[in-house]
Amino acid sequence: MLSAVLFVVLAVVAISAGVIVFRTDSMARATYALAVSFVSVGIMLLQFELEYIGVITILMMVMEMAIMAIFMVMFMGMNPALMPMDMVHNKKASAGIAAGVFALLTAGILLADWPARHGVPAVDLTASLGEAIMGPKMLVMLTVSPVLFATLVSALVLANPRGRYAPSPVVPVEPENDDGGSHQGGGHDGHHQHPGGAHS
Amino acid sequence: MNGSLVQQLPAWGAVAALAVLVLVALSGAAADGLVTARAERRRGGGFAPVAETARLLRQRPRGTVAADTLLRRVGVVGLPVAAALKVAVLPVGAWVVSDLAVGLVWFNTMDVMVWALVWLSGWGPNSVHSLVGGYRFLALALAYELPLMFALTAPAVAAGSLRMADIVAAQDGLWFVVWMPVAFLVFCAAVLAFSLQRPFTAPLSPDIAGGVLAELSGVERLLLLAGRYLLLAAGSGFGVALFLGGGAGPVLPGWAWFLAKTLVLFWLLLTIRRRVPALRPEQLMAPAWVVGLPLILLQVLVVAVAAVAGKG
Amino acid sequence: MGLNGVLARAAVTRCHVFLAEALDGAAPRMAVERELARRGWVEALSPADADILCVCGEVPGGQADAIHRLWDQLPGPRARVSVEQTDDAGARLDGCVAELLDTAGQRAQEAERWVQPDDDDSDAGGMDHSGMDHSQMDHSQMDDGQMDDGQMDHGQMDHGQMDMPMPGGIPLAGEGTDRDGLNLDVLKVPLGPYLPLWPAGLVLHCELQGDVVFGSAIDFPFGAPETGPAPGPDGRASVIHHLDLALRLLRLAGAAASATRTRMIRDSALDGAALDQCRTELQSELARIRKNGLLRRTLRGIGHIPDGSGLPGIEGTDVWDRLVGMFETAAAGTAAATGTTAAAHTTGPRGAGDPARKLPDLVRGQELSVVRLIVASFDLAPAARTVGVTG
Repeated sequence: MLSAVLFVVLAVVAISAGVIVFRTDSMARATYALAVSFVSVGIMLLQFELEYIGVITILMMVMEMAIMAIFMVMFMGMNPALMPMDMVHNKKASAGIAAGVFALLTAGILLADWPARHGVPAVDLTASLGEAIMGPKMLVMLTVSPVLFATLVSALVLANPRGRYAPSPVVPVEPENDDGGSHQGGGHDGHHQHPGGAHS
Repeated sequence: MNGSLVQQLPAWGAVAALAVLVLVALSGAAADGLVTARAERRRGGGFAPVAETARLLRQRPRGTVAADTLLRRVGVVGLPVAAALKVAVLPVGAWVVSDLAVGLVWFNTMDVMVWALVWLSGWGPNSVHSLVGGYRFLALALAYELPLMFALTAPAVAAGSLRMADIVAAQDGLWFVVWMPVAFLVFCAAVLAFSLQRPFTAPLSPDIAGGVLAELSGVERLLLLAGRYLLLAAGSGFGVALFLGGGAGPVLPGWAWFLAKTLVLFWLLLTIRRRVPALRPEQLMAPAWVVGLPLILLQVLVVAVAAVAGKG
Repeated sequence: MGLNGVLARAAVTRCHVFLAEALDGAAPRMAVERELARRGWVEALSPADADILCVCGEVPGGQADAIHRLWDQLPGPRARVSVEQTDDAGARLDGCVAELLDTAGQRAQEAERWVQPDDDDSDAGGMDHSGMDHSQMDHSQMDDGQMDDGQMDHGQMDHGQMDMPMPGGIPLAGEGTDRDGLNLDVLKVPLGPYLPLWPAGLVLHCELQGDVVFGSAIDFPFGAPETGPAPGPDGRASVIHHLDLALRLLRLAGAAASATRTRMIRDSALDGAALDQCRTELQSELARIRKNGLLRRTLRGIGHIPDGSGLPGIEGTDVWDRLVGMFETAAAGTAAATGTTAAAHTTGPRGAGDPARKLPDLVRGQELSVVRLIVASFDLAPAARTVGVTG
């Protein structure tokens, strides 16, 4: 009974946090609302005694959201704590797609011919999960993961060989006059915005 | 490999574990006050954490313009909570609050939580200094987290289990620190890092007016400062369980040995952090990944070979 | 006296003090710092952490606005004191303790502060007021000591800015091109004049892209400071001055233990200890610092001044060299005093060109912490007389 109540509460939290992602006008809140949603799902998995998957879901999602918040803020270029911002784009099409996917999945759940359980779960679910994933495909995993990792790192290195702080010849020259602009050395594009929007 | 190695405590166990954690952290803060006073040739100093607590309890909360108060509060409240949740899977001698089968991953999850929490505490106040502090922590976290994860892998591989009790039991006879020194050192460094202690204090450093702390006052500040000590204390506990044989020791009962070892490691870490200068955020990445990561991978390789050889 | 009284009693044993150093306020600041160390009190790094706002030196009436805003940011219970003489620091701070203990008085003060409370709204975009909003919104003032709490505004798309709302009354930041040609937000943040561990009176108007300073201009809004080690027959002033500089740099570098020891040497010099004694101590401290590999690694190579930059004496040095130079100059000061009556000691960084002029060049493209280290590595006090230029 208690676990059923907990399950329902977690489900409600997961769904409402998911709704908040699109209803809030702050990118930081949207990101961490998504994290809350995933954490609730992770705890639900713990309820199924899928301990490893549950905990690792929480771990991965929190880490991912911490990083995602950086990228969102970086690319949006707006402080959402200050600038209310609509989190929904292309409303009609996305609403249509969402409704369609929901209908499809629900139909799948209701109509599928679910098999009855035979056998019992393994004693150590984590170990059997590892066997299932890694056992026959160990060689693939061993090859793929270092390659993926190396690709990521080398892509970063190629994209930004200097790093953020290293001295660089392309540092913008200092502004000649006092308009406070941050100019690209060599006159990048002629029409600088006045960065002092703060003073307008 | 089932939970018979340790005894799960009933509900009061959680309260007791929390109380012990707070006491250990408090002892560290008091010791730190004493040592600071001695370095400045003053008397006393052991009273400092109490005075500080009283001061912050008395201080009024204070906000900033257009702050995200909710996120800031989540961040500062979360740090002590994360420390407490870590301790929940930590076997203290023969007792544990929750004998989770994947306790080690749980510990790792909680320390990833710190990423989010510190960033949120920095984001919330809507201030330059705080935000720079929050981002600095993420920069440090990216550098230390991967070595930390591999350092956690080593004892797990050797014990063949992710359950904390199994890992402690696997050290019967030979503590892991003896043949996994690199993993132990990396782990200790990471404990200092996720508890925001020197040399990893860039998110709180004086050059950005206290960084994440710059705009916090009153109870919120107290929670964040306490959270740092609690995380360090919890991290020391895990260091003991993972590498120093847990509660193993002659004569005294397991819990006594465990606490004694934890206190020693805790005070040792506090001493180390007093002696080193702070690292600038960009200074950690290269050493951590270019030096630390290969070393710890070698360590894991050695452990894995030993584990396979031992089994076969 | 009840729980409140007990809390208050315990709290005032460890007050946190925010030091706002006025121009020429170095001597009272050092006196206060010594008093704080004696009592086991703490220097606050930001007004949010402070119980006491201590203004060191005299602030002319026209410059009190920034101080007032600092005062507004103290959370309370709070007390404010001005120390102008070196000998009454202790008495003044005792006065603050009495003020802090007066719980009823603090309550009344706080009620006054909250006279016009805005609607407290912790929702998205809500403003969290603690009676400090008016002071935060005024961005035309450049003399705000702390970085403004409200200045975290990021850039906006480059159209329709005029009719955008200004949440919290804060206008949006502009944007600019970074060194890789990417369009990034530019945030204007003044550093100084009342920033802890910062040269008194200096304001560095920074343009930040993230935590990297991409442009800056220096300013001495309150005029040129007159101090610096007074040229005199005794080298003591020079010793104290250079140890003070070194200690600031050490604290910024996070070398707390070294900074504490250096402060004690400075304080004993202030107390009139024999300069021979000081020399021994500071030379052993310098030896310790030289052996500190991590510290060297932090300071090596940053703030390097190229040859031919018109700063004789410090060309080719980096922050590490200048830190060592501070100790050496201080040691030389002790020698000058114990030897025959020496003239003003002017070797080393002091009196060598105008390092303040070079700051904007040196800090461009640097991360904030490096910027702070570079600024702290210069002795700006005497050179400031010729300044008022933008970089």
